[in-house]
Amino acid sequence: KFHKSGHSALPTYVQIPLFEAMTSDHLHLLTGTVNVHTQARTANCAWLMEINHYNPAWINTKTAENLGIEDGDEIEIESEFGVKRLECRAKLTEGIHPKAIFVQHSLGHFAYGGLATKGKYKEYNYETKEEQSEKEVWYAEEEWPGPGAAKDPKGRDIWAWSPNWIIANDEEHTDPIGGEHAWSDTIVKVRKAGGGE
Amino acid sequence: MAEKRYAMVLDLRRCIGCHACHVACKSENEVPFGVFRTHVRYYERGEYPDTKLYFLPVLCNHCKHPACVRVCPTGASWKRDDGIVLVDYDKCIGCKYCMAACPYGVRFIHPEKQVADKCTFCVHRVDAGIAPSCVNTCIGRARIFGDMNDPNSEVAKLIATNPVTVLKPEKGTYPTVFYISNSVKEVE
Repeated sequence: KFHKSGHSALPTYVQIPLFEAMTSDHLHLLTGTVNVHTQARTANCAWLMEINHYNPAWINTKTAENLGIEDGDEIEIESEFGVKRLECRAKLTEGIHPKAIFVQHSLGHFAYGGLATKGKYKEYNYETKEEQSEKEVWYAEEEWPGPGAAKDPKGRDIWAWSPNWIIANDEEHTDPIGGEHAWSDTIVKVRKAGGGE
Repeated sequence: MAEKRYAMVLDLRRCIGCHACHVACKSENEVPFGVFRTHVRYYERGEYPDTKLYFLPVLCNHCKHPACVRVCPTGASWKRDDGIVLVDYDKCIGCKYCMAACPYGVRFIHPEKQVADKCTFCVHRVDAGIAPSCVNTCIGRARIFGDMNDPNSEVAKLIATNPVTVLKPEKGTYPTVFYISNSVKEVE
């Protein structure tokens, strides 16, 4: 069946076209989830959001040093796809390859309920069956830079960032057989926000 | 028969840092948002490519010589004969002395009741003869609970056959929450 559709019938190595164009400035954009969230579906679950509600981009300490980025700095991740630019915060870690940058994709919704989108929630009283007025989340002040720090591609305020806006999903750069998006195969340039423009 | 002495063993070789204990505790004890009775701390050590991430679940250590009980001005913090340290919510005035005295920082002020609160080893479950909620839910069986005075119990055997350590032994509190690990010293 693969043979008929023009693909090799046996598993073969095919160079990802984007990687051929990689220069020393480029980093691999990796996306994924952390242990407490299940893909992007649990971003409205209060108990899980309390544990993980902040998704800065992970970047190796040495790479960040070369780029002049410090922990918690605003950075810009630039790719050739989607909205082309993601502004987010950096988290310096030793637990990532120097040529890679990781952004968690479980957060950064713009349509998924109050907790996931705005960081606001309503409590429901099961005894009186009354919904209380909207409250700001209890974890807003801890490490979060404040409302308005994250914007979706249309400029609306949202709770956190999503890397899905800048990954490759056109015909040329997706998996030729399965059609999977380039979840971890997009190459990006990273720089400190505000400078160099 | 000897008196009971409840203890918990945290086998960090088996902990995967999944926070299931954290969520199970909140669900069982109706712990409000923003505070926690048990939590998993993450520590990153080493430089790339020799990086390691250590998980350290923390909870009330139910010490043999609890600092919180000693400083409590109203006698609200008290220790049962079986070693479980509890807070009497009717006596507590919310003065936070115990929070300052606790070397482990596991106490908090309950935002609705305005009293000090902490892990109770799920005393309502233990009295009914079942294990605490976090022990029950732990997917790696990293948390083991039992009577350490009973030589046939699993905790007593684990303590006897493994090099166990406690958090901050220099404080002289003699915790009954034991850690099996070679990493506790590194993260402290």
